[in-house]
Amino acid sequence: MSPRTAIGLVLAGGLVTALLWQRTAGFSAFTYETWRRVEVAREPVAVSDWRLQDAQGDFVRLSDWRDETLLVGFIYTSCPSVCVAIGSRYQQLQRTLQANPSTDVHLLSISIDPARDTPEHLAEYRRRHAGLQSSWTVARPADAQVLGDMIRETGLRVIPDQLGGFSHSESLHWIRDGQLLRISDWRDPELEKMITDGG
Amino acid sequence: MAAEPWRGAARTILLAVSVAGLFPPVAALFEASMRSHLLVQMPLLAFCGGYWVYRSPPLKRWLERVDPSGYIALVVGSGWFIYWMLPISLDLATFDPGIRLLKIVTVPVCVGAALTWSWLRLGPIGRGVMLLEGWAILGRLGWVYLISPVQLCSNYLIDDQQRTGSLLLGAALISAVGIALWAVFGPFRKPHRTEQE
Amino acid sequence: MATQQADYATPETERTPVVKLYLAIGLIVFAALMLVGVLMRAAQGASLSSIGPALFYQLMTLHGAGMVGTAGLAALAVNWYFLSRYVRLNPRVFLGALILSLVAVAMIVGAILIGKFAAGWTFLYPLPANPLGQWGTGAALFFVAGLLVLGVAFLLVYLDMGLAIVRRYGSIARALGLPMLFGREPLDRTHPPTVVASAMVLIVNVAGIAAGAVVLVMTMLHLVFPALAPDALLMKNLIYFFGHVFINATIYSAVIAVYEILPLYARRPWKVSRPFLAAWLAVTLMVLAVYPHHLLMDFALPAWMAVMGQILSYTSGIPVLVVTAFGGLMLIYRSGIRWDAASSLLVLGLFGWAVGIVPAVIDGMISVNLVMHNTQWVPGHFHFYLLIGVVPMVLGFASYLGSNGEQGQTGRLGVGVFAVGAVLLCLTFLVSGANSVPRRFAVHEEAWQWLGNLGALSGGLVLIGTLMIALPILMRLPRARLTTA
Ligand code: HEM
Ligand SMILES: [Cu+2]
Repeated sequence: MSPRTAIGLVLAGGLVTALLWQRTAGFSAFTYETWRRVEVAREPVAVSDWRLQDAQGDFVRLSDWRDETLLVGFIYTSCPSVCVAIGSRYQQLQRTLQANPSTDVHLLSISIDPARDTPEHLAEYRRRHAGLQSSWTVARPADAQVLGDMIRETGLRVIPDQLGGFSHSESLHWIRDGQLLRISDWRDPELEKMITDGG
Repeated sequence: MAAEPWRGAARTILLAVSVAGLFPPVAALFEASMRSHLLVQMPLLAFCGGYWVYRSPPLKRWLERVDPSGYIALVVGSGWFIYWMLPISLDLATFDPGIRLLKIVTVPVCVGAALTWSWLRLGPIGRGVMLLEGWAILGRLGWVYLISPVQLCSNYLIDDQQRTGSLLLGAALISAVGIALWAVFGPFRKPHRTEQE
Repeated sequence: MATQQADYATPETERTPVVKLYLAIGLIVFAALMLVGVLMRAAQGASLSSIGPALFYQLMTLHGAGMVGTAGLAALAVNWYFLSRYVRLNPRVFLGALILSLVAVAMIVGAILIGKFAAGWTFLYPLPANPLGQWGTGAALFFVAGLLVLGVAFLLVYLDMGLAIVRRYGSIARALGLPMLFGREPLDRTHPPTVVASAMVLIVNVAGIAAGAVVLVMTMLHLVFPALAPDALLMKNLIYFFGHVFINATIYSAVIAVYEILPLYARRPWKVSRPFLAAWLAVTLMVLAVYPHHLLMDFALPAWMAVMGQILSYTSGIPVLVVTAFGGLMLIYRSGIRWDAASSLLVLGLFGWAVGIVPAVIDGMISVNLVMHNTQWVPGHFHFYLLIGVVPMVLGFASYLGSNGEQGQTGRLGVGVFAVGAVLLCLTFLVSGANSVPRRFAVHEEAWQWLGNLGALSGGLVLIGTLMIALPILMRLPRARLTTA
């Protein structure tokens, strides 16, 4: 092997490794969902002041929870699978919140199917999971524009499935003061601890 | 000689189909499902690059100068192959126009052309290793897609992913039979031709 | 014909150096790992209480992986040396494979001794990922990656062999003698048995390595992403396809030494015949035809299929054994053979192979297998096959290559000590098995311990015998010159 080939090999190997490193955020993220988590953890992302309509039919904005940390999950109420699981998870987290009244975390579920998820449906979803209005808000984007903003700003992926529903990101988003600070897996057993630590 | 214009047409069509992959309607068509994205568009793009190496003497001369052993092409080609096997790359290519452009440009060049060049340069043993490794990739990737409990691409439903896995495993099975028959009873040519090479 | 042969054959000067390297490393490692085996048997006999279970399983993994790898390399050397008489092989590829193998060995030994990996050489999924704190993911990854590198090393040599065979014989199928067997071509009685055996080994081992390339990477992926959990039954089948084929193939490679060297003693050629070719074809098919059932990506593999696979894989040894043992006896019969170290080792190898089949066949019966398969009956069977089959063939080859078989009184005595020790050792395993002593147990009941101690003693005899044969060879090997034909 000539020295030129050897140098070329080293360069090519280094280049390819660097590109792989960059794409996988240091060989830690191989899917889009994990990559999103790593990226946000590295640098928080600004989100606009989404206008939402809650289960009472009232209009609210993210900025209404000024001094609180929001734990945001995206759901749709007719979802037969993941959203049910996320709902039960929120139910557990709500118990943690009740046990630690001093924490300033607020649970927020936002529908990605605003056309079908009327305030009545939203209220029904919360009732199904024994949710309390005080610590858990279930809402839908006020209009299509907000839905678009949400998806774009968070990098959420929502695609229709073949059953008339959606396949969507299952992650939970920690948002405070207009900043998306962190993305967690809803199965993460550390969530309780993060809540008691104040998000 | 008479075949030349026909070849030219084939080349133009290939190129057109590849480049069309940049534009929304065709892109949507190719990227509609994991199967068509991974098993139709990607091989097509790679084939374009390979074809280019085969048919272009200037390119061959250039490669001959830059990478006479084919090893550099092998490293680049297999590294870039791995890059496009990452679910995240496939995902991004469906909604990030920059990554889509990267795909249309680099899959032919850095995967198709590079691996073809290294194949042309490597001796029979190197080719054998490449062949076996390529076959094993079909099996592993198909198996992973089939059993992964999570949806690997947020843009492709899990049943699409599983069907892609089955197709890959099917391809692995068929090629295993083909390769085995060829290796045991082949190479189906006069033994002395290899002597003269 | 003669000139043609010279064109194809590997030049005489290129044939020996790398083979000597393989043999020297092989003999030393064999002896070292025998010592490890003795330690294990002594631990089972409770006379070495300083070896606790954690260390025992590390030693067992080391002994298993090391012996399988070394048997593979040594048998490969036999195969390569004799095949190079007929076709033109590339010694650089052969040397490269040795270097790669040593890298693999370093990875494997490091994973065991430094990383404390102890999941057995079969790395049976999902055990490597469930170490209960004994070893880390890194150690498991290193071990599995080492096996992968070893697979690549062998693949390189097999590809070189395959090419050379195709160049001379037109195709692997012709090398295996298929056209002659099926009457498409007249029977050429001078077609070398070595080439037939090489073709068989090539086919099954390349298939095994292909399966290994998939299953090893799947194991690694599972180690890194535990959620990615392949079907355990399918993994087991693939692992066995890879491991079982590989270890089976060692005897089919090593037996080439018998085909090539015994005729020199008997001064009669070993001629191929239709039954001979048929037997080798049968073995090729049986070893292969059993396992594709497991490869059909049939995720709900019925249990009976796995059991059938086991029976077939055991019985598959019989046809070649019969033609070889019969052929060997016919060759020796009234030939006035000279009994020295090499010839007696080769015949001992035939004997071990033949007798080793008996416990295998017993174990291969379903009703027995269900009771026996996890007892020491199994180590009994495969030590017969490996320790009294493969190892003597390799030693015999080394003895012939190193000193023309003439090792005098010490050599003959060494063979005797080796044979007595090895048979005794295997008997202790078999008797243990018949008494339902489980295999792979670090600590044995008091009632079984005498068998362990007897085993350790006989293992010591084996080691002494091996050293008596191997040391003089090792000393003479660097200078040894040999022309087999
Ligand atoms: C002095 C000679 C030897 C002694 C004392 C010895 C001893 C042992 C012992 C005690 C075991 C564990 C048995 C159990 O499961 O309870 C074992 C396993 C094994 N031995 Fe040996 N052995 C010797 C030679 C060999 C040779 C020459 C080979 C192969 C070429 C070999 C290959 C193996 C294999 C593959 C295992 C299975 C390891 C496992 O279960 O994972 N041994 N041996
Ligand atoms: Cu859902």
